[in-house]
Amino acid sequence: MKFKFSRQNLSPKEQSQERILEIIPGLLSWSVLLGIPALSAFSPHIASGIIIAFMLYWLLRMFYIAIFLVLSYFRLACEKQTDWQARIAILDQGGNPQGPHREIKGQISDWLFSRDLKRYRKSKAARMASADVCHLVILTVSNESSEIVAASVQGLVQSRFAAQQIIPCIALEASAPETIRQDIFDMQRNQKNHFKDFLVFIHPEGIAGEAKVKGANATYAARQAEIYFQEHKIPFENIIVSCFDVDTIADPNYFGCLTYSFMICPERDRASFQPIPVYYNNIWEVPGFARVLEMGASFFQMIEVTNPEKLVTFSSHSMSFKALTEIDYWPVDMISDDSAIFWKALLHYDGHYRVIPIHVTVSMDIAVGKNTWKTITGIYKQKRRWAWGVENFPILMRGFMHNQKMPLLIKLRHGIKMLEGNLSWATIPFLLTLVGWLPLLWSNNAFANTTFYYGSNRVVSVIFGLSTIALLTTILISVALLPKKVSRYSLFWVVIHALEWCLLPFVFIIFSAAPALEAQTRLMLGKYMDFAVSKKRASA
Amino acid sequence: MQLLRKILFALFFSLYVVLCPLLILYALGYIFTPHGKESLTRTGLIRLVSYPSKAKIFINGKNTGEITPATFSSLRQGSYRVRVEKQDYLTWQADVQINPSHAEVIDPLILVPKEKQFKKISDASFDSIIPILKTDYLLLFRGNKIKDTAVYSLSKETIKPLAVKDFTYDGAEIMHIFNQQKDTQVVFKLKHKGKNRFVILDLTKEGTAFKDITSLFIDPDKTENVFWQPENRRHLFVRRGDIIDKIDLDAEAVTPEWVDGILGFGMGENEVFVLKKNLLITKKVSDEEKPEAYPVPLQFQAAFDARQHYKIEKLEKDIFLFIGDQGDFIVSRPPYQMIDEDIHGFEIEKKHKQVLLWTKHQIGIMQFEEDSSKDSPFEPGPAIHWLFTKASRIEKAFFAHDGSHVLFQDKDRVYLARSELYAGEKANEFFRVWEGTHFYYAEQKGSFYFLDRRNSYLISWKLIPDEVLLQFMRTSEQEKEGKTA
Repeated sequence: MKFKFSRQNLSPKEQSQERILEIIPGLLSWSVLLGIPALSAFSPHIASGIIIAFMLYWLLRMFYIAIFLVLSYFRLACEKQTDWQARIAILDQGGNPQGPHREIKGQISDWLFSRDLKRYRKSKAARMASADVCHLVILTVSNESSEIVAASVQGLVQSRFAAQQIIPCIALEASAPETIRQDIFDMQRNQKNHFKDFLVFIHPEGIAGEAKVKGANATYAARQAEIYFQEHKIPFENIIVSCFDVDTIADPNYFGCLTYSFMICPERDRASFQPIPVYYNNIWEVPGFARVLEMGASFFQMIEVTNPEKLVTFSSHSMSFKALTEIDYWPVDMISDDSAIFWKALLHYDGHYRVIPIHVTVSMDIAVGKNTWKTITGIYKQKRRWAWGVENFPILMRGFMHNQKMPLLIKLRHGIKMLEGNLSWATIPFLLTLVGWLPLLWSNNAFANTTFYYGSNRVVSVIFGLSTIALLTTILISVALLPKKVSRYSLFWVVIHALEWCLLPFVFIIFSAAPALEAQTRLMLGKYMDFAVSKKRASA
Repeated sequence: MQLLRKILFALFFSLYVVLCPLLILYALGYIFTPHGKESLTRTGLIRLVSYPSKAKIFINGKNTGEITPATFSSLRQGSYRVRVEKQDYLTWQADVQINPSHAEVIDPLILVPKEKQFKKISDASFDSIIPILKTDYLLLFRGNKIKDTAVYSLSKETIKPLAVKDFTYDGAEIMHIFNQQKDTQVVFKLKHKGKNRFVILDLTKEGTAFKDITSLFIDPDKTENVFWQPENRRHLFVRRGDIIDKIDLDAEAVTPEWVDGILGFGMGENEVFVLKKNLLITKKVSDEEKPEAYPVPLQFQAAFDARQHYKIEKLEKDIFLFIGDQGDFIVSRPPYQMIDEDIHGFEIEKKHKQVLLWTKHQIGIMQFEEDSSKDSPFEPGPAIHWLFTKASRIEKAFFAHDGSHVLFQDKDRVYLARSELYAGEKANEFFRVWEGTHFYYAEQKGSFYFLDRRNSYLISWKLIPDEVLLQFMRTSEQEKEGKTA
């Protein structure tokens, strides 16, 4: 279906629809946040019942999450030693998985491979040779220092997959300082030989219909690359495009795993490939609250990849270049281009598009400022930008309303998940805090003389206690995933890092719920956000 | 993974659907008895919090194995004999009636030590004792002359003469003492060489001589009462008959007849209340704002006795109490006149909107708390429940610890009781005081002060040990925070 995935240049009817839909997420969140305390004041009985229902939901959700986090962690551990090159060779040569592994993780990985292979061979998908695969890696640069870009490019050089099949493509904003521009061109000259080619495109300012967003820069670079591929006669169906944040350092296995996943995917032109984004580049250099927050963000993504049916692209990811051109690239007027590209594809292909998780990590920077205050404000703004992904909701809903071919189940699955996700994001940390305070609020009330007051307090405190078990599991896995600390590894620092987890409730209110609520409120009030680049590391 | 996810989702969803109503029913106090007459029964509970804690709890004679603080839920309707025991403390026992969905909260329950270790504070005898309520000071009298009066500081544990040496009015007789709760400023009406004098003193300022403020009184002989607010000590309001004069201590000026024709007078935070025949006027102390006048209903007017002067107290925004100097007690809510008997005294406890009042033989608590059942078409009025009705002669009564307990003196015997007594629950008799004198309980110290019945020495007795008191204060603070929040 042809659908303009934008809130610009709409007809009056579409504009009204858009405006109404923009109000819904914020209105829902505010209704919950104000409704529960108001209800607590006027009808403590009903409020207590709702709180028990909410806390039970929270507990089961925590355990549900913990189970999938464990599974995701286990899957990641299973694939850690996988030789992707060997698997690609098997796909190329049509062989079978190698002999049995001694260790259980390897055996599981092989079993999963055999299963995928069987499915692939049964499918009628066109076979593809790995030698034909070409990787276009777009790195968008606004004003980030060349050191950050160089680290990302170095990551590509160190890829276990043949760098000669990779084309880095720096999408540089015309407004970038001259020094950065020079550095990028120097880098192109020096690094070109490592790769199939090294492209640099300068995104001019003031293109009609564009906003100052990353998607506009990436789209311009992809359009230029399209011309390049046509000139070099490289078929689009052989190209995998990866759009990376400039600070993304791909795991050496990333392109191997991606190539394998792309080759074995029966409908590779109808899928995006999502690695697990982690924020480990500078994790030991940032304040404790930022470390706790980003570990939370990383494990959230780990959980997400276990649910491919509802998985949406986030941050750095890859997809077929053919699909990218067919859906007319990233939105050029939206901040949340990383998820918007998936929604665009989903609508374009009438629901026949999905995200395939790939079990490797891409590591990024945690936003840091020159001092703690700047780090705090920087992180807050970054999370608010992430939460601004809620801008997709009204557009997507309009798209669903227009698209008659897409199955209702897919519409419901994604629509409900998006709404519930935004509602939970903005309200759960606040509600959990409020639940702790309510007994005190009611202590002088007539309600304090009822069995329900004591009974609900008891139930809620038991649930809190049980949810701690699930929370501890997530913390332990997050810690297990962390890169080993180079310095300051003494008992003192171990204790300090453990204590950092006590910041969790505050961190999630200030840097998760509050920015999400602000983003939803802005959308509700029509006060749209502009794109701002997060400062990544002090050198930036 | 997808299949596993679907199975787990179905499992968790089913768990939620089953558990959620069960948990809510459990919290509401429902219990399920498969073979009972009524399979689903709504129960009640008992919450017990004692000071000190860790006391053993027995219900219907059986040791529950629980120690305080504890909650006993799923109790069917009926009467339960609850006993609380702790070594070195008197056993507390009561028959607690349990009603469905209702929580019987026995918090705080102050346990009384078996052994009373009285501490002698003075080696000299006194005739009487007047506490400056909710401050650090007690006034001790030996006769009624200034020179024979002493001040005891609770925190410093020192007794000092009230007046400095060679005080002009050393030999003057104390005719009346005017003071306000929570304020260390005291005004004395003295009789010196046949003339009435008014002197003022701040008890915290040691060695400071009294200040004679008689010149600011329009008619010292006819002065009946002096009012002020601890937050605004500068302004004194002097009542003589149906007239109020306003004194500005800083400016040493007086506004005669600031208000006249009054039936009653009282003070709140930075405001005064004036009762006229058909109007209740609230007026700012500063005179900056226009007074507000409220017409008095006819039925309310009929309740007043024009021969009495009424002291006005504000309990809440819209609840006023009028206490006549001959024992009338009238409230601003129907039925206005609550008791026929003359009251001998009262004390207000604002936190729970309750008033402790006593007559010669009875002690009662008047509750203004809103009725939780708003389904009734009738507006609930204030209600008095009588704690004791057969006392010999109530001398004094106090609320203690946020109104949870009542301390009272019947003739020379001092008792402690919880404000809401269960059947079978008794007031504890503590000690006896010097005939004709009163006791004082300093809540912040958990200690009693009184004159010994045998030799009239000043004695103290600590009811609540410091560590328990600390625990107690902490809980009260948390409750207050809750209320503020």
